[in-house]
Amino acid sequence: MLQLKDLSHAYDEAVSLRNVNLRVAKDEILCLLGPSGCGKTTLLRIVAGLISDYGGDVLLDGRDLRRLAAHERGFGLMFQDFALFPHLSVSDNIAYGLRRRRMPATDINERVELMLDQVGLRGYGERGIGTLSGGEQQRVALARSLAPQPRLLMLDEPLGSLDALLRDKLALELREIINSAGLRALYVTHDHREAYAIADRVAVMDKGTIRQVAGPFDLYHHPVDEKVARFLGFSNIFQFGDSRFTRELRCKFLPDAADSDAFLIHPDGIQLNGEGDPAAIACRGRIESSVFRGEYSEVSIRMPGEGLTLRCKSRTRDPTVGNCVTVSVKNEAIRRLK
Amino acid sequence: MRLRGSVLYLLPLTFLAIFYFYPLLAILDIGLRPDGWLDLSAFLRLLSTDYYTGVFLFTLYQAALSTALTLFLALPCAYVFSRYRFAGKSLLLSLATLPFVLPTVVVAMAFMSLIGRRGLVNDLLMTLFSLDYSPVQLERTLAIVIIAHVFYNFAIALRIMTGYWSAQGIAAEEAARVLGADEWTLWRDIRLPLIQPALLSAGALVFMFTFTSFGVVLILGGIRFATLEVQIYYQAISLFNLPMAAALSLLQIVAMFALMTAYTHLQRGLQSAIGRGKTVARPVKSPRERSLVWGVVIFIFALLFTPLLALLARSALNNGAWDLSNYAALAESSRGSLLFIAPIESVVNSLRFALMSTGMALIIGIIASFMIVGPGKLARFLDPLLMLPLATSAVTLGFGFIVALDEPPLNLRSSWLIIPISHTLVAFPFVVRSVLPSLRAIPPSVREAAGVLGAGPFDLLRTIDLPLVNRGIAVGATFAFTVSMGEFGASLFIAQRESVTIPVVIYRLMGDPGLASYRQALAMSVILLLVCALGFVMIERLRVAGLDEF
Repeated sequence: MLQLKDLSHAYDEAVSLRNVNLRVAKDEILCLLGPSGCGKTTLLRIVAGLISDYGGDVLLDGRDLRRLAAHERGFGLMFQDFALFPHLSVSDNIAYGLRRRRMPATDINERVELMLDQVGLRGYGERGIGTLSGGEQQRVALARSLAPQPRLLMLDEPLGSLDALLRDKLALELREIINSAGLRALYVTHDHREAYAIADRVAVMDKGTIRQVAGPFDLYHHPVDEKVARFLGFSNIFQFGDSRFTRELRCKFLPDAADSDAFLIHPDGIQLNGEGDPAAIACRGRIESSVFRGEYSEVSIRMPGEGLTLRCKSRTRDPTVGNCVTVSVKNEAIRRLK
Repeated sequence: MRLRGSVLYLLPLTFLAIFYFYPLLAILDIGLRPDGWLDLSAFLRLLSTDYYTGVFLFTLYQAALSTALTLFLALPCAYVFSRYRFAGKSLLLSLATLPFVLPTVVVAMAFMSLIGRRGLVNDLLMTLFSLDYSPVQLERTLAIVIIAHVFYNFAIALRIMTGYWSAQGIAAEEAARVLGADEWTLWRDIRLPLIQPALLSAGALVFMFTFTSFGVVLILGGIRFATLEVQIYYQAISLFNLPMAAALSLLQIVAMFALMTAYTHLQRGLQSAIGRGKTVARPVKSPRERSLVWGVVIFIFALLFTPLLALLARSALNNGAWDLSNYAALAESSRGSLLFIAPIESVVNSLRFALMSTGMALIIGIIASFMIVGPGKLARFLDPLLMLPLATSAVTLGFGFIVALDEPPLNLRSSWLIIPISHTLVAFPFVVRSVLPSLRAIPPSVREAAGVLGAGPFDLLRTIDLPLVNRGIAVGATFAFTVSMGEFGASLFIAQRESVTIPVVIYRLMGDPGLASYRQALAMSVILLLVCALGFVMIERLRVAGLDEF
């Protein structure tokens, strides 16, 4: 098990990590999710041994790693810019870590071929790095970090520089390859959809602290606080005391909550023109804007006299701006936030 | 991760301390305390004597004149180079930098072969008009010195201005045109103001080079046109007035540092402005444009290549017939000459010294480059420190060597080792300048990736750093080799009888009035020209586009 105890770090004056505690079990993919500058890459670099002036402890199976230099740790790290060696061929890139371990040449060749197969680059061995596309480079970088069978694989926004279409496709492949290699992995990303797709557990970071650790399903359904909820892309975050409507929601669903408590109306429990559900509370408002997103339209509804705007998805054709509509909120949509 | 903290790092600093700062201190000592106590009489004489103020003013004057003429000629050429696309343009631009690696003695000989007393032009005129005297009398005039300076510096100015103009794009110009500016207004309001940073930067560089010009002035001008450099040499070697030579050196050093500071300042402005536009060169269309391009090409060819071709021709042309007797004569030690060895032996000397200097310059230069890109505050201040030898004239270095390294514990005065050491001092900044860009271009993540994959510091150096900078190292090595082959100023001071190098031999042969010596000088110059041209071709082929810091 990889264990981070009270990990702290500062760049000159700026604190980048503050008392981070985290465990990564064997065979687990843990995603570090957070906005840029939240300290997730710093955390990765500390674990990799690239940063040594940190406070707290990094333990692997109970052993302190502090005195171990990066090249002695036997970890794998996949860089955001891939950091391929421009002067080496695809094969030589993949073999680099194996050669450092003084593996016999025949074993190296065998392993390289296997890795090329696994990442779908059979026959690319002799190619130069400069001749590869972005997606191909990403695969070489993955193969290179996987080849020496690292005790821990770390990936720093490995899909960050690729276009959206390729990203979705490669995220799935990545998960499959990591799982089939039976690896423990730390995966850094700022894209929550990517984290959902890849992680067994997600740690949401903000300003050097970890705000929530949960499985993707739990994280999506129960973000712990406003920061996390907003970072996961949720809107409709209010305080119960905000308006008559929100107070009504509290009375009906969460009578013991205070006015100053924040809550989230989860998009799964909010419906446009959803009349007839006795368990829901309805409210009328006027459509302020509507943005077509493909499978749904994102609609903003202004509640007159309430001073608040609700956002919800509509799957009906073209919600007309200016129309009056009813919004109904179900009990289970209300999530209290810390 | 890098060689940090290793004793290796002491090597460049120790080298600089012993062979750069110690000689400079020795000069300071001789200038200020010639007899062991503070004595400013040399300085006072320097400042109060019209002759010496005249020398200083003349140094400034010839540099200003050379700079102005260089810029004036390079400006229209740069305009044509940046605006038009034509066959052979990049080849011509690259060939035009050949003078940069040519030794001063070779250039001086080349101009003598073309327009000197025994030059091709005089030969031709004498034959055509059956004259019995040489009609073109340019030897030992200011004109031939200035022309040679333009020859040397034209390409530098051309490259800087062409690069800057190309990077700027023509958006502003097109906007002005649409707003109603005619061609004249465009030059006045747009083009000249926009090229000004490049003009200033190139001007400062050319001024710096011509301010410290030694070989060209000494050989083509003679003592009548003595600049500070020539005067230092003259005072130290001919008059043995060491305090005065030291005072002049100090004046030279102060002036050079002022110029260097100005140049770095100007160059910073140049870099921040570059890279905003895209290249705007377009094919030649109208006959006017075609004649413009042809004019520029012919001009560059005439300026840069006729002297070299004249040298080649003159070396193999005796009494109207082609033969190689001049080369055969190199094995002979001419009677009563100032030389103690046959000229051809100096080739062996030069090659030996150049190889040694290249080796030492590589070791020191590569270590220094790693220090500069290394972590810590030290690195920032190392870069300018290690470049100081570039900003110090060769004559000052040579003078420093003879006054500092002439007594125990460092008595190298009579050892041939002093020559490769002085060449190393001049050459290693070139290695640093060649290696640094490729070293800086290695992304930190590539190094880290290697580290995470298990590469220790030594593995990192062997498998990542060195392979990625090997082109830079090769360029630096070639530079070091050609610089050493052609080094004149310092060698003239320190070369002893048997250890003279090719440039020194050529200079001595030229000082000999006999025709035989002149012919030997021609042949030797051609040999040196070919060696340096070969080095130049290698540099141009190895150079990674966009990765040079010159």
